[in-house]
Amino acid sequence: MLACSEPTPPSRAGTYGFEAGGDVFHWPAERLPVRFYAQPTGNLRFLVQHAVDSWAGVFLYGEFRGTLVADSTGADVIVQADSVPDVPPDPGAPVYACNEVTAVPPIDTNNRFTEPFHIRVAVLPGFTPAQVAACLRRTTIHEAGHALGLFQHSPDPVDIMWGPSGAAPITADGPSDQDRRTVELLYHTPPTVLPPP
Amino acid sequence: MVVGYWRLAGITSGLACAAGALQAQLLVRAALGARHTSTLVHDSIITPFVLRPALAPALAVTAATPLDERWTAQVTLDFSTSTLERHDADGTTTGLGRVSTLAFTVGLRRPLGAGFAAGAGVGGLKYLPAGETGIFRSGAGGVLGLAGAVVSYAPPRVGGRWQLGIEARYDVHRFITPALRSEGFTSARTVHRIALALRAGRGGAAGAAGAAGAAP
Ligand SMILES: [Zn+2]
Repeated sequence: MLACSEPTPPSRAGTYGFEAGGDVFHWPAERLPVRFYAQPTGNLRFLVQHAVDSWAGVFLYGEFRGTLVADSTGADVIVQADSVPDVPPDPGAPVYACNEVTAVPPIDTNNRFTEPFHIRVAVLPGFTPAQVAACLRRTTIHEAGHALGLFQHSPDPVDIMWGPSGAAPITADGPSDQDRRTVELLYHTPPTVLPPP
Repeated sequence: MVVGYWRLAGITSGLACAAGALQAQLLVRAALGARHTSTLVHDSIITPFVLRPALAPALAVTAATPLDERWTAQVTLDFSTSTLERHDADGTTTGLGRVSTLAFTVGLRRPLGAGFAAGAGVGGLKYLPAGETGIFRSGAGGVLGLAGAVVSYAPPRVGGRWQLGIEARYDVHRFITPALRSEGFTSARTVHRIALALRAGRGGAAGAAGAAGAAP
């Protein structure tokens, strides 16, 4: 029943970059859970909750937790959209039916973000609501990854943090092993930027 | 030496079969104390850190029946609960939620003299996390094999039906969860637990399953 040697920590080789211009940011333990506000549009709240759960679920050691708040005042991450279809996502091949962008806040002289992160969701014309829903589900996870501190894109299309160029859709349904290793590494790397007050 | 036991004749007639000429009898004891558990997980991401449960209250309930004048058979149900903690290299400690354990052991015990008794047993242990997160995100991984030992002391009883004693309980198991396997851990870690407890048993030999030990 007993072994003579104890297990060694696993290799975590295989990550992509996460800093921006040399700056590293992740939410510190004392700021958890990170407060996400989702504008009450369609099923945006569900999409944001799914994104938060997707990221929280990859951590083994409690490095990140997020929660949805009902009021944008005091939120750490604010997600807004003009319209979000509340339909089941299309199970077919991913299409570029949506667009999202995360605005990383400015940094003050104390190396602290001055305001919350803002994620803006846009629906592209010419697609079915189900195709849009599928796109939004994947892309909201991607944008939440930026809000967690993953400021770079993965070069690998199997990763949720892959950075498509042009009109290419994100194809991963959630964080991959490489996404997991990268965000783990980020959350154990000393940050150089402080969270917003 | 068996006269002082809390007799539950009838209920225990089956257990007493092996005792031959001994009467059917059952001693029930409860022990309440504190448990220290060694490291469950040692990992390193940039810097090393460990996970282990905080000092935990521990409750053990034991049912024992003598097999002969020296040996007592016993079964023990043991429960403890505390916060799982991550201890980082910089000295910070982070709570990761409540985790409880429930263990079941079957073993033998015998007196050592002067009120002391010792025993050993084997059984299983189940981790009961409060939520399926972190290292338990894919479950706790079933029942883990367990081996343990106990040393107890009970002073001579001066009167009354209850007798107090103290005991030190040690056990060892191998820990790993499905989430740790997914992370890349290829083998389980040996986990040691030790509990110090005050014990109350009903009957003259509460000392030990000892029974025998308390009244040699
Ligand atoms: Zn992006």
